[in-house]
Amino acid sequence: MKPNPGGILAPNEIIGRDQVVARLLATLVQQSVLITAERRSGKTHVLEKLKSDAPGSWAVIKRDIGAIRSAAEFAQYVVADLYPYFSPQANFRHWLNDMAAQLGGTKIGPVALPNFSAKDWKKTLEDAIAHLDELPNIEKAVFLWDEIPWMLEAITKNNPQEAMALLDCLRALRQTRPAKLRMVFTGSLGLHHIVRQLKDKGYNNSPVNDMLTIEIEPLSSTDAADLAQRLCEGSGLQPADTSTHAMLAATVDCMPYYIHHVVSSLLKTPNVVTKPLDASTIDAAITQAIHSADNLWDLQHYEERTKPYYGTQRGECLALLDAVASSHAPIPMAAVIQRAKAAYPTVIQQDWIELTRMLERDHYFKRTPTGEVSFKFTVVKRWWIWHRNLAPVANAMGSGK
Amino acid sequence: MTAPAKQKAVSTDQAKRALYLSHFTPSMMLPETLEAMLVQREPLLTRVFGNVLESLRTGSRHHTLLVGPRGIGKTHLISLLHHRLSQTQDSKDKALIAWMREEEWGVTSFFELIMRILRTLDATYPQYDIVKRTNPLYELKVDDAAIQAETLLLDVLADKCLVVLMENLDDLFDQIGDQGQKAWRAFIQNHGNTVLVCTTPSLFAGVSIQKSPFYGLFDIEPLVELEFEDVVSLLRKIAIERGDADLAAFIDTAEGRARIRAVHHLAEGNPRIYIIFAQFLNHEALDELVHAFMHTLDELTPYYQSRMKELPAQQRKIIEYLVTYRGAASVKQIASASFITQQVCSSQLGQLKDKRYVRSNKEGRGSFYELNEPLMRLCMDVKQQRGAPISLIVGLLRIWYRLEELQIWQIDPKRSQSLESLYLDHAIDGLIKHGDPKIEAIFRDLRRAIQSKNNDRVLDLRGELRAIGVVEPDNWIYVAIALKRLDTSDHIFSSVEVHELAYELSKLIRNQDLFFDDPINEQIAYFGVSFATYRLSTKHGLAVISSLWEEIVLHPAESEFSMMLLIRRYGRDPAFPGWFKHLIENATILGKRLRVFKGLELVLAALQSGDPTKLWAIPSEQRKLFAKYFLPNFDRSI
Repeated sequence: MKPNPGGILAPNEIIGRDQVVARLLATLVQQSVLITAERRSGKTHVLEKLKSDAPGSWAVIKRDIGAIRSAAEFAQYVVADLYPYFSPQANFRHWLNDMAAQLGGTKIGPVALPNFSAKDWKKTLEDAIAHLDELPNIEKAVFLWDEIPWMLEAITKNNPQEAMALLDCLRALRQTRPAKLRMVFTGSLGLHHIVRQLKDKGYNNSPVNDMLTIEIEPLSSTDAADLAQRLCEGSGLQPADTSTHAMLAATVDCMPYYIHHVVSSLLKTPNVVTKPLDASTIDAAITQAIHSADNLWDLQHYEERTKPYYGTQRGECLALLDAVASSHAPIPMAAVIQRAKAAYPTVIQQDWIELTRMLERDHYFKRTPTGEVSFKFTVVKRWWIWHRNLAPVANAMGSGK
Repeated sequence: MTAPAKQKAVSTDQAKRALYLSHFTPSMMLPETLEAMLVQREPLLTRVFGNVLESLRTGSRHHTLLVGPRGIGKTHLISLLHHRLSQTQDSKDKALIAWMREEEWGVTSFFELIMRILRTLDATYPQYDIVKRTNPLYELKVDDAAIQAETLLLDVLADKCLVVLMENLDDLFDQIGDQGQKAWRAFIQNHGNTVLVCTTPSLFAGVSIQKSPFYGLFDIEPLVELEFEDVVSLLRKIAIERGDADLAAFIDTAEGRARIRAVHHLAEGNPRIYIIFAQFLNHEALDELVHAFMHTLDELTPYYQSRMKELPAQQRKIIEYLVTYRGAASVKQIASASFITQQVCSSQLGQLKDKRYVRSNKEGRGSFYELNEPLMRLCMDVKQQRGAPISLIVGLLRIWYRLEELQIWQIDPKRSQSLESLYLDHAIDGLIKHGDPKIEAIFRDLRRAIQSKNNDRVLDLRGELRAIGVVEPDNWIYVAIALKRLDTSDHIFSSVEVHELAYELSKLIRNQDLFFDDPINEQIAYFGVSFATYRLSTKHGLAVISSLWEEIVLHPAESEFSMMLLIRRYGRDPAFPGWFKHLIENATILGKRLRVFKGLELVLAALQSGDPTKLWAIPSEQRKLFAKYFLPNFDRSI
């Protein structure tokens, strides 16, 4: 197996996602799903694996809809994607052909589609989904819509009402077909950002409150080490000892994209293949990526997004982040707040607690069972310390390393 | 052309081949030539080639982005990749390759990109009758045509993979915009049958900003400048390719390497410039070289002009300074020349570095900045010079030929073309006024070799110094050792200054054969170079005195001996008391005044004033030794 950071993996190269896919499939039996994850965490590959692992009685349709600019165009692609599941004798195809004859149209693949701009896209969607009743052998029709927030963003720019109506329509379709129809939404941009924009324009509904939110986490340490091992072996990199692969995986928080990236960058280092791969070589490659001005690991984004995320409270959030980053070990919440308060003495305790909660929600922090706080991702912490030029501070336990 | 002293007739065939190479348009060159000219990049090419093949053989898809400034060799690699892929059975059976040549102007949407790809495929695979099949699309509305074009492409591909080889991806992304990028990404993700190998002069928002559709999609492969040995290999290959065996042999001699080393410093690792230089190695073609070079610059100038326009005024000023300065400059120097504060300058340089206009090197305690793209300097240089000779070509003449050779060339009645004459005049003038650039280049690499403790390379460089006629090259090595230890990173020494330092040192150091093993010689070098630097420039000399004290503390006996030699040699030099006084003052400030220097102070005072009574404070045995070896004129009086 060769490193392929950012590219498309063959199905047998998608490592460590069996559990999350199993969970998704089990959830889809009951309800639709909203997948959330950091960018480059492998959402698209999870969708691919879900598609290949789904029961044979399910019709799983996956599409990147990020470039779609209108609800009518969206409806067109829904119809085109459903088409292959209907036999030539089915009413669905008759319905489609009749409309095309009336309205004129275009072809998407083998499908002659009517000109939907002349028709109510909502009715088209409803009619198309209604035809699912003609498919008794299909237990569930599952639409995997990747980059749906980009589509909604584009529609919102031109016609916010249409975006609102589309979200409501999709929800209504889920409600009217509770047994048969499922949807999986995911994307690089959080859907909540789009919904917030629509709310600013008067939208009052909760369009995805019937969907279960499932987060794609990094791999387990075992799977991550396995991935590292396969990539190293596929590239001819011999480990210096048995813990090398686990060390590589752990140092990059078991994120598969980073693991691919590290092995790829090792291959670009002269003479690496000629000697056993040791911890210092791996660490040097990781450090170089963290410090790279090209921001290949998207680490700059963690600082940049504090502006839109936290608005006027950005300064306080940065103070909390600096306080946690400066500590070598997980640090009690009280100590974090105490350090941050030095810069913002007038902020009340409740606000500090709320801000810390937000930082946890947005994947900056994690909390131990005893309530101590640390950065969720070591890689982010290392970058944060380097970028903001922080010096380690002794915590309450006296460790100042 | 062979060893430059001999002017042999160049065959017509050699001249033709030289010309063919000089215009180096890789996409139009024979694959055999491209293979022959490849240096340094074989591992990278093998990797990319392997990834494309893996994409064809498995369900994975690897996308690669080659990043490097103009002239670095991106087109060469893409051309060679295309050639190698075309030879494989996998690509014949499983792929259709769309090799998009250099510039795709007029592509402003994903639809137009698909049409361009279809047109490109049609040229390579006429059996698919693609152009005929696209004709009906022109009858449709744009949105419908876009969908149909995509469908057509999928039909043509069937179960094969589309391999797109494309240059200047940054321009294309700019043209197709966010919507076009999203549509392209959706195509790649939805059909999973595309492999991209693209190039760009530098990373751009479309691949490096988190919210961009193609963020993180590519495996980034940066192309780095050629190292010295790569350049030697390249020029040797070019010589062989031209059928010039004598030149190929000369390139491997110490003198040949010395000349190439100086060219390497001029060209800063950019392969395009070496290709031009190789053309230049033929007397016959100087005016052709100038025209070929101007042609290259004419093609590049609009690109660099538009890049400059993108910059805010302060950053433009910084770039303009670095263009004229030629070399790596400190933040302080750039700030001063640009009339901005060091803090602002540092921030602007950081941004310029992120945008890849400049790169930085750490030397000693500071960072030094230089232009990232040598071709940018040349384009702007030519524009600023307005009709004056191209500095690169004048520089090449100064490097490759000795003064006598240029003078002979100049007066040769067969060669008195006005263009040649102008260049020769400038080259000769430069050699007389500024010295030999080969020495400067060797010296720079000597400092680096000493820094990295690469003894083998130091010995090689010594050989090159000898080969170009430098007498006693070991003095130069000592100067390099001393400058490295004394950390004179704020000043870049010209070859003339180094020559002077080496000359002064030659008067002090006796045992040349022990230069790496004898701490005495090293101490003499430190002290000698420190004083000689002080004589060249008080400011630089003072800057190194504090470094000298570290040596005194570590090696007091050797330091004392070195000081004695200096007093003996330079005691009556007008500059010496000032330097010595600063040394002692520095010691006092540092609290490191040593007893041993007390005696030396007195010796110096006696020498300067001519008053032997100043020596009475020294114990008698020591006094007699001092007098015998350093003050023979005072011997009788003591």
